[in-house]
Amino acid sequence: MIGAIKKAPLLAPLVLVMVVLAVSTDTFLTRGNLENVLVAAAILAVPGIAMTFCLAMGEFDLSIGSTVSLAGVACCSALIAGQPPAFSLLLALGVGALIGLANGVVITKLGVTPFIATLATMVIVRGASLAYTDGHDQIVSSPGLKYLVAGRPLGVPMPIVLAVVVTALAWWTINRTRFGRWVCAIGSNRDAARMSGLPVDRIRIAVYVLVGLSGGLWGLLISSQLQKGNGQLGLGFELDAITVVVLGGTALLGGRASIVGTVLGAVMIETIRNGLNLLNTPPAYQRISVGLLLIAALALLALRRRERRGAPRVLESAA
Amino acid sequence: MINAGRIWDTWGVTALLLLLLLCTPVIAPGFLDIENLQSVLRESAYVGIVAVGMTFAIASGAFDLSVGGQLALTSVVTLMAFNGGGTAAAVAAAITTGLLCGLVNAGLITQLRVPPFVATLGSLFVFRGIAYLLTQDGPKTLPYEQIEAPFAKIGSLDVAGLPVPFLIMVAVFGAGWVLLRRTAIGRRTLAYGSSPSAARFCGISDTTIRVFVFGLVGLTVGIAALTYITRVWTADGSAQDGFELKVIAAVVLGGTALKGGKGTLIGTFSAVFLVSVLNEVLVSRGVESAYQRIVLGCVLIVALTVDGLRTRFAAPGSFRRASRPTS
Amino acid sequence: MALLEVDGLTVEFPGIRALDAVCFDIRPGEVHALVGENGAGKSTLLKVLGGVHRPSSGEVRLAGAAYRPRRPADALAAGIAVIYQEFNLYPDLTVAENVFSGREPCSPVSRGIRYAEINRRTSELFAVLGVGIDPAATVGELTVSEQQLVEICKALSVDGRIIVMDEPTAALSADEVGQLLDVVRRLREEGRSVVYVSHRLDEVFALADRVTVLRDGRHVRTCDIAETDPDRLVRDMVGRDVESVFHRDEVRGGDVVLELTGVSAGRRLRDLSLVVRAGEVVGVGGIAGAGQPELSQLIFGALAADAGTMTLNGAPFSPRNPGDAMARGIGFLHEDRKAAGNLPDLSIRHNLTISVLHRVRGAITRLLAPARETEVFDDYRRRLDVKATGPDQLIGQLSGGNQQKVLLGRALAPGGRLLLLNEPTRGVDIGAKAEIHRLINQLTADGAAVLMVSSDLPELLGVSDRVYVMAGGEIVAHLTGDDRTEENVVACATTGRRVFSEELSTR
Repeated sequence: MIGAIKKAPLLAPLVLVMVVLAVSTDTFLTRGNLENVLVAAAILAVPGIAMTFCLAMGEFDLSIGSTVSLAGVACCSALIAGQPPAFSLLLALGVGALIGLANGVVITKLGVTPFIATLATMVIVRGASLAYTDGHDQIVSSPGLKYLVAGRPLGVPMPIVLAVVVTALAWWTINRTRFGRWVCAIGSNRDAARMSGLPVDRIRIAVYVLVGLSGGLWGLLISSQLQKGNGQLGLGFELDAITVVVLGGTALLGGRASIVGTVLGAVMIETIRNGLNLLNTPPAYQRISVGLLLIAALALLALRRRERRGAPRVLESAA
Repeated sequence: MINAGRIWDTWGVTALLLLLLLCTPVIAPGFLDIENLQSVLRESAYVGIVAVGMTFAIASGAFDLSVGGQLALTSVVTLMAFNGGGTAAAVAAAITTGLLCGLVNAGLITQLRVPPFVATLGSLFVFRGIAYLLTQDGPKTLPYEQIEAPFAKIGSLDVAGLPVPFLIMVAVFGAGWVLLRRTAIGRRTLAYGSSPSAARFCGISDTTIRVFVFGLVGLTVGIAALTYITRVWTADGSAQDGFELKVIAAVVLGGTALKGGKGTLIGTFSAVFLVSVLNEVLVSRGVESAYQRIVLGCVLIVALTVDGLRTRFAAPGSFRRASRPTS
Repeated sequence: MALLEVDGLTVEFPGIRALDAVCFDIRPGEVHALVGENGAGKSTLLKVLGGVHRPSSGEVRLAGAAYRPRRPADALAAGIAVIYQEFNLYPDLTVAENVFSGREPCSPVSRGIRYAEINRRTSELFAVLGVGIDPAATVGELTVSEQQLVEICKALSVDGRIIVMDEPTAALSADEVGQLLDVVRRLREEGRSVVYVSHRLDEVFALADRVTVLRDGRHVRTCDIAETDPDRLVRDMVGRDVESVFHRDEVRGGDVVLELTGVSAGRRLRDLSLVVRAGEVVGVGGIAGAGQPELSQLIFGALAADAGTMTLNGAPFSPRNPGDAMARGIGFLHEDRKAAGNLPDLSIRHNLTISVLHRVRGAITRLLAPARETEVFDDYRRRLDVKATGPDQLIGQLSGGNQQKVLLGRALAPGGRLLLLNEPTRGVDIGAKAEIHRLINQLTADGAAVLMVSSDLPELLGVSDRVYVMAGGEIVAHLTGDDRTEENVVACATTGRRVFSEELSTR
């Protein structure tokens, strides 16, 4: 039990926030509201989990917000063009994967740093999405697409089902399979990974494809919620995705991944957003609280790291 | 031959800009109209001014992701100050708010030891959030009846045919150049970006550098807010979403190395205009803004690929040890 | 028959021949010690065996067949495991994951790694070594000596026939060293060969069957350990006439410039007392990891002292950062030129003046004046005879010796009353070395005090007037006059002997 708390430092604050909300509002603990929170958290957790792989490797992907938009647009316009839902969904995922592949190749083969490479893809993909839609909404009413968010297999909302499956798969992959351990190995000591002959570049590309895929899925979920796609979807989502991962305790410099932490991070953010809504606070507080949460999490991490570091004390060291 | 690379770093983008300008009469007739040029200069100013601060930040080996939030917050506060106390109050508010934002970032980085990337990502949310909070009842605006106020003139006045925002930008670039090339703190910033551990043994304190750099970014945001707000007349929390990436892209395109140690304000200056001229040319050719983004992104990747390949060929090794990405 | 034969191995880097036609062999089931001074070529040899460097000429044969690793992974596959001083471990992963990295057995259905199996096999390997480390522990949380054992375990897991260890005991405590020696003996009993690189001759004599001495990239001799003794080995390692290389003017120590009394810092520096006088070169020696660079960093304000007092020119001195120390006229040269010396993106002029920016400002504007900067630079360039195409050349484009001269200029510029020089001639060719020594001689003649940390024995003894020897963070010897012998330094640094010359004992 104590071990579990140590592994998921977010659990205690999350419970605290929930208790506060349960006491201070009448509506937080209703079934419908909790379901809303969990559905929102599930939608955020899926890309967060993919981003966890990326951060565990010591890198990050800024292009995921644009991927959301282009994937949504791709799916909606395919549906409008009369394609079957299955094809449209696969198309969206394919678009996401392709963007990820492009990122991976540019980063590993052309040697562009991840920050700039994904920044550029972000701009390009957003441009492509805006260009294709010509600034208009692509409104669809497809039951197939709708099912992604509104469907209830066995009475459980579909996004939650998806998130549970993805979480389980990701947990297994990162903690128990060679691929997952290699991802952490690269983040832990990239030189050693090359020295011991791990296929470093292939793994990095695979992770970017994974993030791209999750961006595609995210785009589908958002489009399904709104029943439309357009060039403005997913603005700023890249920061949301990175925030849940960092909040969940995955170190920024790589080496470790906490899938459960990421899921808790997503629940935390959506709980706070929901709570602030219920308390009738202006939406601005949501942003502020997320930002403060992020800074606090990292400051605590830095503090713990400093405590653990042995003597002698280095004066004025670079962080 | 030895210096070919360095000359390209500084002047490459400038050369591209000149080339583009030389081509404009053919590819975009009407571009060289005075009014059109004035509008380009006016529009580029606020990005350019913040790019000066960002050049220092990147030269020191760090990003500031919060400039968009800083700009929104500063703009909102400035408008409030103007509506309350007139021009002088507005200018003072802009400078103070910007500077304060920068110092908050510096404090997070040096006192709480949060890595710059996360610290400024977090403060981006916070600054924007506060800006939203202040504009709950609707965006702050510059009232139309104040059109003759000296403050409102900042955005619209021309001096000798040159828009005031552009002149301010040139002044900021000039001051930035002196600061970077001719003062001890500028030199120390470059030294710190080049090798933080070596800089430490040269008596350079990382706290000083961080406070200077992030304070400077805040200051430039304050100045930029003056030209921005007198141009668009209104601001709320969503003002200039994605601004940080626009600014970073301009600085990197200009030839300032992401890993720190190098900073070229001439390159930044040219890159700011390269991007806006390119946009303008595309607009005049009837290309929609969506495609402009694609072009910008491609330019960025090509520029950085060239840079990446060059460093790769410059330092061949038997078994090269890659370094960790900087955060 | 030899298991591994090294035949005429030559490795050249731009400007340096790191190994020159080295020949020796390793037999099955022996512990083969490889000794030599710093820069003798030991590390290069290890990197060739480990597949990091490729030889320029010569051949290595493994069990009679040519051995040409192209990548580090090839070496491991061939059964040669090199354990570098900087471990190739993943601190965030578990012990077993590290041991089997890249070769994890996994289930064909679920793709899951068979943790039960790798944990069991890791435990078995540790049992062979006679140690108990939890295979599921995180490597980053182990001690250095345990991490070392993980590396050894990794070597065993590929059934390594030859295990190469580079200074395995450099960072270990006495108990841990004993444990490691036992492990190496067990490896020998298992029939494996161990190449053991160490500065500590007591370990070599306790462990090795044969020993090979390298000097300046050349093979000096290989012999059975019984045929030699420590004195002979030290002579083989040093091998040159020290006095003829170094010329040191007779000095009379002036006023005390720096005095440390009972200074400690964490576990790395314990109860240090020493004195440096004007006009003196005080050497600090010892094996790597004994705390010498930390001592100089503490004086320079880069490390915080927990206890004790320092005085500078008779006044209390407790620098809070290097800037404080520089303001008091202290110059510093870091031992790692690449990582903490050069500012790679800056020109040599700017590299030099970075420590004295307040002196190159214009009178009225208070801005940096390029003309004055060039003046200051040219002054040092002349004094130090820096060979460069111009003041705007990047520092990385100079030869090692000239880079070092620029950094020396940076250290001199703040005032030069006290200089803390770490490895002033590391990675510098013979000519530049002599020039740097001449410069140190001249500086002290002008009244500067120099504290010089050097792991180059001839330099330490030839250039210094007095020598302190450190071991395990403590000063274990203070050698003056005729006591300054290589035997004394090596013995005190490696065997726990303590020698304090008259001067200190009567103080």
